[in-house]
Amino acid sequence: MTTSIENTKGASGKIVLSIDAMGGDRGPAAVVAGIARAAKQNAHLHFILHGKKIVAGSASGQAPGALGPR
Amino acid sequence: MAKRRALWGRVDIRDTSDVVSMDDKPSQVLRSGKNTSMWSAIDSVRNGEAEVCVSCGNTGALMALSVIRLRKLPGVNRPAIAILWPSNNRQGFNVMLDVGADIRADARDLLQYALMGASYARTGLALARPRVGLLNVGTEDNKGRPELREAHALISQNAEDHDFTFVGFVEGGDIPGTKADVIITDGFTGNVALKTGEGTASLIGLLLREAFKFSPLSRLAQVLAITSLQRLRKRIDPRRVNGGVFLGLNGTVVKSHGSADALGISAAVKLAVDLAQSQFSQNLAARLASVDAIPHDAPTTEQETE
Repeated sequence: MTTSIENTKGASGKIVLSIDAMGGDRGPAAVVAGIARAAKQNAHLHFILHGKKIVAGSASGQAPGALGPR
Repeated sequence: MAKRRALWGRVDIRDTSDVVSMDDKPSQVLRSGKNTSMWSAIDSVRNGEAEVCVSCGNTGALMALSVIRLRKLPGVNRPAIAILWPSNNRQGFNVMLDVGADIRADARDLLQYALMGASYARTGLALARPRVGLLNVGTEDNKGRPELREAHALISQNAEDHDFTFVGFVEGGDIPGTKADVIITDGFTGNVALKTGEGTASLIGLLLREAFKFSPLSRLAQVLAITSLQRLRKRIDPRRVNGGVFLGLNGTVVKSHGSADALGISAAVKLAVDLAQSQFSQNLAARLASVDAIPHDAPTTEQETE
């Protein structure tokens, strides 16, 4: 799944993904945990996280603890 | 919590006040959804800040917003949702589209689905020359509705120029089979097939659990078979192939299951990474643009007025 035949960008490039943090049945906590899981495996990954700041914020430590242990 | 350290300095947060709920009608969201996280997430792709958008929200609203904000690629009449289906092929999965973007598709739409599906298989499954099959109720040339026979002719005319092999009509049993790598169908049929597949898989899981509980001997057998069963579960676990991809738009949107947990969401993110790295969107646009340059004698369908 990680190789591709069509033209590829340099493997060192930064990849930015836009993530909708809201709207899932399990709430933003599952989304944040999911992107953290993917981020650990790929150092080039960056995210723009869209959602209510109070809940999405704990992802990058901007509002630590706001999310609480879920 | 330790996992979140991986995100330090790599997340840019956009504060949005509203949320699209699962019950919101797409038309409602189009009218008054400007402040939703979904709208904002799609707009990051629209204005080029991000390469791919991932959402686990309301599918209808996500598709409607994606079409309005990102616009259809030139020549595309109906965008489609493609998924990866566990299969007996060497790559482990087949691509199927459309699984529910639009309940109708005419011959020309089906041709576009074939081109889009072949492009997706090149990127998502790393196949240089994917085999494309058109879903029908039989494999003989005279089977099915007229638009399917028309699509059959159109797709076989275009296969050579677009680096895929057309295997002709396939049947429902071939969706997880080895005859084709890409299954083309309209969104109504595709959606019924997808949900039938999911329902069947969960029934088999249930029956298997019951069978192993039947007697002390079968309970012992379960203990002995545990690693095989875990391997099977991993192989058919829908969370590991989470993510439908919206095809035919100026930009890529990945729809995750609404019920996805962290594992499911990370699978959708990985799919998004694969698509971003391969510049999938740009490659697909080039391929679709080139098909319009090819003259063919089939009547073109009415274009939607915008």
